[in-house]
Amino acid sequence: MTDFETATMGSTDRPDSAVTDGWNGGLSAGNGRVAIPQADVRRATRLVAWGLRPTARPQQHEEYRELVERYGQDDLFRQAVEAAAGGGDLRVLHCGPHGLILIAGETSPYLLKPADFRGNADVETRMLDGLIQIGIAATVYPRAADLFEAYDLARSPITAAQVQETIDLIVDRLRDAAKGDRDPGASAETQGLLEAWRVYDQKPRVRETRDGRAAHNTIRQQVTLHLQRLREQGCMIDTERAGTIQWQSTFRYHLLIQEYAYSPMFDAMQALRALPDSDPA
Amino acid sequence: MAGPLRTDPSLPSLVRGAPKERHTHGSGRAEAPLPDPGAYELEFLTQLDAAPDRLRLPEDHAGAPYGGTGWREDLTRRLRVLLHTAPLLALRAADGLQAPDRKHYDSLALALRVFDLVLASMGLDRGVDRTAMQRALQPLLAAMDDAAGYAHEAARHEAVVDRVLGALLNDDQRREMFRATYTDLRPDGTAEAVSLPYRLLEEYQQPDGGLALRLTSEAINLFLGALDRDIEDEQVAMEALVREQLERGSFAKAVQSADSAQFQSRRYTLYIETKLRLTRRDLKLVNWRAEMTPLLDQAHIHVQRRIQAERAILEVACEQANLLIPGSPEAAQVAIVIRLITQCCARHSLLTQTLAGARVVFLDEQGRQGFAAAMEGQRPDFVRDILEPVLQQPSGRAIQVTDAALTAIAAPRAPTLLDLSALINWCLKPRRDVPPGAILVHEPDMVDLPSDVLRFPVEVRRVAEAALRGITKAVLLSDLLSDGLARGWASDVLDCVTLLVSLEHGRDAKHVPLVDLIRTTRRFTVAGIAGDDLLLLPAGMLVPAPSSAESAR
Repeated sequence: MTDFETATMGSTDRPDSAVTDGWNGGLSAGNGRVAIPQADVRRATRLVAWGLRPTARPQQHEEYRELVERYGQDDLFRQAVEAAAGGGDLRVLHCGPHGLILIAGETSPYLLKPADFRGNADVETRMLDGLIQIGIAATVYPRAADLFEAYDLARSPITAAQVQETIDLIVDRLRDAAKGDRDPGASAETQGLLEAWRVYDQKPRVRETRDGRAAHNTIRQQVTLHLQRLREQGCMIDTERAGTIQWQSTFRYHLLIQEYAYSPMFDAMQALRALPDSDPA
Repeated sequence: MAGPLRTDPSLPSLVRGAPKERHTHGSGRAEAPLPDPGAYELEFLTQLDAAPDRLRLPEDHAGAPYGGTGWREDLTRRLRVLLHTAPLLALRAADGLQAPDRKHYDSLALALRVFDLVLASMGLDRGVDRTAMQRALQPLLAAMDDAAGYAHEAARHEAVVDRVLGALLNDDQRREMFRATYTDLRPDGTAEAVSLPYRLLEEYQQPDGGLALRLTSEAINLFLGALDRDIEDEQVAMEALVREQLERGSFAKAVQSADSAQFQSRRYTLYIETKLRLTRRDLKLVNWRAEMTPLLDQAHIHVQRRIQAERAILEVACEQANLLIPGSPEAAQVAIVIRLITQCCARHSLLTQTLAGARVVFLDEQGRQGFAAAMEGQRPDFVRDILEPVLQQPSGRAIQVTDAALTAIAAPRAPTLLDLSALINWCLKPRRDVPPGAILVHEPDMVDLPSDVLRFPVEVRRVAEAALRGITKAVLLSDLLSDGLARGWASDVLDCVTLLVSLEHGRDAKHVPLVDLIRTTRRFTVAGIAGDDLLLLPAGMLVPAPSSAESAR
């Protein structure tokens, strides 16, 4: 097939409309049946491919910039991009000068599963990974009202120490509150009954190796690793000021948290609260 | 500024710049329409004259504006304007608390220059960032250093600029909004404490990933004289002024006016874009029906008129340019006016496109935000609503929330596919050919030499050994080297002699010595060779040399 041949998509009588279900209503331009040049289908897929490179910026790649501009100007192309993304269970969260920002649905092959976040991680480490990510979000957004701010507004830069402090403050308070309580049973840890703060509390906060490097298994170093991971995903920029590494959250991170990520975390927390205490989940 | 209050919703004024948060516990009566304040004001002043020591509220003050307190709405507006200066005054107040070598910097002057620079950069493709700000403030800081007799020091300047920017961004409060509490009066005269949240300066991320600074509407109005002015009127006035000045031949003034006109056009564009940005963020943040629709209608007419007016100015400017002597200062000034007005025209043309697409923005966002359940309801407090409760959960349950966090925050990852044939081809790939013209670099063969002396050419070694074997009486090494230097020994020979002598130390018993030697405490330096001097004696004078037969065994 050549570029001039066309592919028909999104027609009302098309039996297979699952491609766009859930994200948008399919391609339409008034009469319900729309022909898209195959070249545009290819371009739409190219734009999705650019969206899977989180650190790429439209200003640095001409093709990416042109595709993003077209997305903003051509309704049909926009629908084609969303359909192409929807086929991979991806949702377009934003498309503009900062690029195409996608999120993956539960069945998406592009979804980074918690178990994939770190190779060979046990459940406990996986939980600490998640706690640190929540800690980072809580440090960037110390108040609920901050979630209404403009996405491009540069928030106060954070440091790994501040993230750790955010979690430490709560853990310290919980430890003080638990003084006088019975110690948890020896089997609690293996059965997943040990509270999350106790698991966190067992980890060393900051420690140096004999040659002066930060020890790998400390909370501080883990926070740094997570911030680095966010940098690789285009969510953080690191800068050094006054001898300290500071992390500046980006437009992408703001959009991701404010528009989407807070919701599944909050929903999961609400669901947990609704369970009776004895329920092992 | 006691004139009638403006009610035009298109103004980014300090009055409407940020919503007021009311903390009153007053009567909460329905607000009645205000009567004309003029008559009550006159009565109020008459009473004041009659009772200078104590002013009594009128018996029947139900109909009086602000319950007969004499308060007026413009006073509230002025109060709000004054409150916006609090961060600037606090910054200045802290000047005296700085280190002795930093007290001489006037942080208020620096802050105003920051406003000026940021304003000049707003609406341009690329805003001013911290680094550019550091550079731009350098001359001002240097002038302050000179006046106080301090040397210019880059690190100190950087720290001062950081302090000023930090204060304007409210870094101390993690960049939250500044909050001022003041007393306002309701129309019925009830006093209430009102909280005014506001920002002056913001740092934002540009599409290229870099950070830049921008002023809020409040800061712009504060900087431009704290006036509640109509941007559209100012643009019209400024353009009329440019045209008149061009026609009158006041070219230098026309340049200034054209510069102001350009600034007004940037400011207007920025205002419209900010409104659309807010719409994209959350429809609830703008009142589309009551505010945005009339604003867009007015803006469309306004921009079309501006483009017409700017074209008329350009015609006049081109006519004037034709009459002037090329290369003269006046011609240069008219050229600047043409450039500035052309930029205004281009900006307004772009704004026309933006306005044309503005309604689509609303409809798109209405559909998108209405669909997204995530946008509904309150946003959680991460610490109180998620982090703290999850830490209290047993880890077996907490992992449900932490997994949700990991999944939600991670960007989609493109799975990689193994191309077996590519892998095999890569493994079997022949060594890369050397391109023509490339210079081959041969790796030197590293060889272990049995003796350091062998690095010298054989002829050098012969001369050096002959010199040592030729010693018939005790002689200092320094004297031997000095004599050799006088006889024209090359530096290689001098080095070789020195090395041979030093190797005589610590040799095993089988070694056949060239000379015997005694170490002295005297230091020497000859031809760059230095060390403790050695007394050289003919071989065998101190230690009998092993016989050739023993050596062979």
